[in-house]
Amino acid sequence: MNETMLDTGCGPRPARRTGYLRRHEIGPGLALGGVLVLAIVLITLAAPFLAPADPYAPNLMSVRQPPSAEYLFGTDAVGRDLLSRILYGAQISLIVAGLGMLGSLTFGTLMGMLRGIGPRWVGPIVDRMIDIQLAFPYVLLAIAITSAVRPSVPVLIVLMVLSGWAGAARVVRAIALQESGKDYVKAAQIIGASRLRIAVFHVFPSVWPSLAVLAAMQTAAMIVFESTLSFLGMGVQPPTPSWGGIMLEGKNYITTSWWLTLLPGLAIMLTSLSLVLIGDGLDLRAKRLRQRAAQT
Amino acid sequence: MTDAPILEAIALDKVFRVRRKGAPHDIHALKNVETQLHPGETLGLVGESGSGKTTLARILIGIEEPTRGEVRFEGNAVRSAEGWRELRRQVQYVFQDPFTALCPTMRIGAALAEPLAIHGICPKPERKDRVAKMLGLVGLSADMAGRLPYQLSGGQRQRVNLARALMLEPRVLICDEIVSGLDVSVQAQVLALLVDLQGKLDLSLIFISHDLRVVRYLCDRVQVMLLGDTVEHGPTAEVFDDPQHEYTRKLLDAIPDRDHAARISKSALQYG
Repeated sequence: MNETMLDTGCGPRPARRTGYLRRHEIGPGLALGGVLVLAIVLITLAAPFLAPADPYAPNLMSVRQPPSAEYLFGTDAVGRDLLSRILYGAQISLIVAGLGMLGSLTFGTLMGMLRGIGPRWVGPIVDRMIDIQLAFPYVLLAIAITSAVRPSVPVLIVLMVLSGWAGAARVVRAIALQESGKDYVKAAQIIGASRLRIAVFHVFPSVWPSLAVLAAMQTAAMIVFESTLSFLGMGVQPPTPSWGGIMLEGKNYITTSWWLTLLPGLAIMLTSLSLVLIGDGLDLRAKRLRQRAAQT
Repeated sequence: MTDAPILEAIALDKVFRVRRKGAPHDIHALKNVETQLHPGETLGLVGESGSGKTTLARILIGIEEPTRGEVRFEGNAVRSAEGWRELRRQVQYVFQDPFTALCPTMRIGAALAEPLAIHGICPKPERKDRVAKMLGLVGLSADMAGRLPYQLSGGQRQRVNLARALMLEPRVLICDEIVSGLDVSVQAQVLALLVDLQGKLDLSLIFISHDLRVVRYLCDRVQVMLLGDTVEHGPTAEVFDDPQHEYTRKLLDAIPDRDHAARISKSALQYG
């Protein structure tokens, strides 16, 4: 930063901005996160080809085998291959987290936009809803709901939307409020644009970059949330493998068979970490691009 | 002016309630202000910052609501949302700050085509031509349509703002200090353009400014405002040559270069 400040030469800056990553302000965190997430997604998609065994097939002759050449990640309490279960579990965990993120962002964006540029009377209603949601411990909410309704994947996704929308709504609300005070929104009003049109064509494009950041962050949060609920027995139900569920099955043997909890835990950590790296990287990138635009 | 006014403000009052640290207090931005704009004329609104010029203009276009009083368009009071919609087909507004008045994410061409799309004025394939024609009219090249606002200079943006306001072929244009954010040389260009357009398009103008030289050059009538009151109004020449109100006189005295040029040339002669 200091170097750029000192660089007072006129005209285009020298070679420092060459290179694809530099030009697009892709920092090391974003690059690393991107590569990791891409790898994880590819591996997940290829799970049926990569998995060495059937994730559902028990083998009571080889129960709780530690990792070895034959069983790379070891086997669980009924002799199922842990690597295969983690690979297939990735499919479930990522799909559920992705759908949860989409639902949560969609609902959150709608509510945030409604608050930011909707009719004035909806303002306090949306604000109170956000406050209530943020004040409510979501695990408690999940326990309450899953004790009333049989836990299943759709219920899990609804729970994710309920837990995540307020965070998204708050960010969108802030941006929409800020933008809606600007002259160009009034200008659009003057040429006759409806509120919906202003929301979609004028304000939403300003919200978009933040949504990308939110998407990465929320997917990470949703993966952890799914694992939490599955670990508590309220998420994906056995025998379907999911990362939290595998940990739940392994927790009784934690003192003797460390791989049953450590390896799915690492999968959760690695995935959410790389997503957070992407989120932070995108955030930083947006700031840098804004700075660059301000300089010209 | 014998014809009926096209746009009128009747007994407008505007009170802003401000809450800043402690008890709320009121700011009386407009006090019983009247104004009339006749077809084809240019009305200048002058006064210092905070005198209520912009508030008056914003009420006239309906983005601010008056506390009391009403706006009349062609003799009819504008009350409903439908009424304002009608008014905005005929009355348009150009903002003071060219940097905030354009949507930062919308290309110039799309921004100019938007009024046409909203009002369903011309079929989609013809819109591009209309935009190009309008860009030409305000002195910009047609390839500007593909650019984003941040790629344009202040003067260019203000031309785009003018163009957007003119897309609907309005009869009245309200210009809120449209040149005060621009360099002096660019100011002159934009003003010349405005005069040119007024002639071509038969516009009635409300021109807000605190630059009295510009007002004198441009306006048929002038209305002087101070702290939300109209202190003087009349034909520009009369007001400028024979100001009746103390404040108008002070404003006129504050014009830089007035009589100054004469004095300088005299002293130059003496030294020479």
